Amino acid sequence: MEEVEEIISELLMCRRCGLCRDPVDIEHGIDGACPVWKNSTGFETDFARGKIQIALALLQGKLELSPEVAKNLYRCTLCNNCGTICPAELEVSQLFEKVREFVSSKILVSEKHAAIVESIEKYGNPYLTPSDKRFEWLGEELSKMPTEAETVYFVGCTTSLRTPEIGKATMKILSSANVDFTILKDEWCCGSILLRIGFREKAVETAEKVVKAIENTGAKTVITSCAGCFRALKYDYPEILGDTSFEVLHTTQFLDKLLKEGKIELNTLPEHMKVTYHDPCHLGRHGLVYEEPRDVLKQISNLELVEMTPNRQFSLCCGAGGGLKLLEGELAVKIGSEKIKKVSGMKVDALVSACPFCKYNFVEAINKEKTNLKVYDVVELVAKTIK
Amino acid sequence: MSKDMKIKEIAKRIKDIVGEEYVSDSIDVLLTYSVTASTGFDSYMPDLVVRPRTTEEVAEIVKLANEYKVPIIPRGGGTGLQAEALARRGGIIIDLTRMNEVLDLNEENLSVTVEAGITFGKLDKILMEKGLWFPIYPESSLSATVAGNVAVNGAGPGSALYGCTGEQVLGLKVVLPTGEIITTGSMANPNSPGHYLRYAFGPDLTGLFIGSLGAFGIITEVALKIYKRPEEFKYVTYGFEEAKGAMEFLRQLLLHNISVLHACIYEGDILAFFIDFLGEEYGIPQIEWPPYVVSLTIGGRKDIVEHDYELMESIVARIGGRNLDVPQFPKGEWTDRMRVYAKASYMHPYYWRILYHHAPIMRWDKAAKAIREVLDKHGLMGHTSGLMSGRSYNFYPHLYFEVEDEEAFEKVKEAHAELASKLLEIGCVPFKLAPYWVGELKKLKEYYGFLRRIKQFLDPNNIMNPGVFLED
Ligand SMILES: Cc1cc2nc3c(=O)[nH]c(=O)nc-3n(C[C@H](O)[C@H](O)[C@H](O)COP(=O)(O)OP(=O)(O)OC[C@H]3O[C@@H](n4cnc5c(N)ncnc54)[C@H](O)[C@@H]3O)c2cc1C
Ligand code: SF4
Ligand code: SF4
Repeated sequence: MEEVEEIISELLMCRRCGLCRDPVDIEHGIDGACPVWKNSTGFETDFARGKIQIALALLQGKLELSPEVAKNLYRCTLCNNCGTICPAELEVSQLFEKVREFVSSKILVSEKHAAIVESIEKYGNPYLTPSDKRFEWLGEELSKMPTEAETVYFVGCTTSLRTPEIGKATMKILSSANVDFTILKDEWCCGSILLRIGFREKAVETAEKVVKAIENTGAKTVITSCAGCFRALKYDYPEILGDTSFEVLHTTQFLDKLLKEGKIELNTLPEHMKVTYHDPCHLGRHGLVYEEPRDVLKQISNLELVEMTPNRQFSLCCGAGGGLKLLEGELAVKIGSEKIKKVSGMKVDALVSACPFCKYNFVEAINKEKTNLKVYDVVELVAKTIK
Repeated sequence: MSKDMKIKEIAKRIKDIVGEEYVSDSIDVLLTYSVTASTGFDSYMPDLVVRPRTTEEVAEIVKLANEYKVPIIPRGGGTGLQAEALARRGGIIIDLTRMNEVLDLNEENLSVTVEAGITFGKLDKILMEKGLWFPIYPESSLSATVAGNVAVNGAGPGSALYGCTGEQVLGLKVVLPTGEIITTGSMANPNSPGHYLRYAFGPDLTGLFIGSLGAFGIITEVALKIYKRPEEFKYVTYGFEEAKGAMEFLRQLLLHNISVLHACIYEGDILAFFIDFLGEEYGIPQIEWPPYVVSLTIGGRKDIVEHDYELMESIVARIGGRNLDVPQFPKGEWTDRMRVYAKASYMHPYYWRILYHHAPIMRWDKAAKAIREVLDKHGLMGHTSGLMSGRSYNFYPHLYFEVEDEEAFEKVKEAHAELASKLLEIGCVPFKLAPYWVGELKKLKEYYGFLRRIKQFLDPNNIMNPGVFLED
């Protein structure tokens, strides 16, 4: 763990201007920042400025560490909208991860954390689901997967266990484009959630396992469905393990390439569809992938893409990230609902995302709001039109 | 009753007023309200924080505070830079950011009535949809509240033409320190079709609350003048060899009623500073800068802007300045007006204490010199930034110190006090009162006495933000 003193001096660069609460500057495409503040009772503890004060007091020993106090630091999706708006250029979400690591090394914030760590150790997924269920959705296909290939499709726990339709769509596209790919039969959690909630050592263990499995296939490219896996494999792994031997792409980046190289052709959507795109935080703000998903959608004829405000680097989080869904599920869905209501007002047929975790949360929010809005992953729309 | 018991009892009763979830006495919440953006000042722990939703709830809380004689501190965005919204004597912080709606966008009267806690950014969004605007943008517009800015009588880009925020206020709804609710201006007449006139029913009671830092009452609604959004802007940077030229130029802008929205004089350190931090982002070219630079934006109706630009060019030629052909500088300042100051203030690692003041336009040089001399004398870093605000030049110099360097902080405090009295000597006045002015203010015996009597009359139990600018 980074020296506590160093974290303190980084946190002290917050000069408490409060821009990260609820900034609105329409001329610059900014309309809100902290989804947690907006959907909770709204005390200072609910957005970055206050959370930083608590983190400082904890690290400086001025505030006693207890699960109650620590929860302020976990009531946050790590979306880093605050960090993007911050005039002091604080890497807020990264700092919060470090502070969470400090906290988790001292106390257990919640039994839910213990359960997740145990589930990953035992089953390789955070969903307390036996490993052999992971690829049930693949049926016979699984046994046909080669042991070696150019490309590994890293499916991820959420796609496999919560939104397998995304996995199926991806497989369909890869097969139809004749991509030389495989999946890891004993695929294991990427460890993203462990990093987010402060269990770095545990994350290193799973990262090593994943890297080894990928390397065994000889693949040069890994593609992920999940924005969280993408962030972990592409940015966190090199930091915690050093350089890896493969390139990491998100499915939307890979698809964009396939389309631009003419390796797949798309049919027209049977019915006209108007959609808007939700930038997943780990793909957009954290990974700077903004255009590829849009470029892919624009290739689908009979599909009209309209932008919501804010979008791209100022896009508002779906609510699920940073371990919030685990710890405060209701709040996560409430945040998702806020976005669903806004999108419903845009008179579009569907909200399109590029992350199973966003989709999973949005689906729950739609059920709560009882709207007719549909949610798709980019790959699902592409799969619908594949020739 | 012990203090703890008293607070518990108040908390219980306030929960009945605003609902349980909007009151907190938990240590983590209190800690986060012990500070504001005032990094150059100490922190103070409050005893309780409340987030009311309505004027009536605020009034009930104020009545309770009187009953128990506990201080109450209204707080908006907590962006004040001079330790204004802090619980100096403990007590209850009233966080007004839950009251953040537009109540009446009145196109008939050209006024907008908003709840206390709306930010300037959100108000701008709503007005923009109708092609309207409120023409002053405090550079904390993304986080500061409208009532908070009225309470400090702020200013910002737009003030060159439209003055301080207070000058655009038509009326207020205020919860007095004793708990009564009053409306000032034309809306005091319940039959009025919205706010349209500030000066109704005798003396200017609205003015009493402008700049009163929450010591005279809690503003729950603000009515502001609104205008058509400008259709045309022109960004120009002029250079002058002497300070006198730059000052005379600003005076001429006023004299000729030029539609200048924003004008700043840059010199020495502050110029270098700005270019270092923001030059690249705004695409400002590297040029040989003259000693004094005026960066300005004019804006409004197209015909007026065009005409004013011609006139301005002829004025500049007459008084010996020159167009530097760097529109990027003012364009960056203006288009990024809601964030530029925050960027310039926080992109570097220093903490600072600010010395907000107004200088007469023609004494800009004297004030700037005083700032530089005090900085030099104490071996401190700092600058002379500010903006034109009507007939005044509104300075906001920073005196830097390194975070957690107690010795440097003490030095800054000393230099700050010295500079404050020096500035008064040359005819400057405070932009926002603060405890550090009180020593000097007391020398104005009758004025200070009168201010205290008003406070005692309005707030017999001295519960409203005590100590924010008057001694108890
Ligand atoms: C990045 C940055 C840029 C800034 N730029 C400017 C600028 O350009 N111009 C400028 O004028 N200031 C500026 N400031 C200072 C500060 O933002 C302003 O003073 C601001 O208007 C304060 O508003 P607030 O809502 O944050 O009030 P707070 O800081 O919460 O409170 C300020 C004072 O007002 C009182 N108050 C707040 N709300 C009410 C209410 N409803 N009724 C009665 N009293 C109340 C408080 O008790 C306190 O005394 C800047 C600050 C920052 C951090
Ligand atoms: S925007 Fe940055 S400096 Fe300002 S309060 Fe938030 S984290 Fe702190
Ligand atoms: S990371 Fe997102 S949720 Fe967390 S404090 Fe920042 S804006 Fe709020």
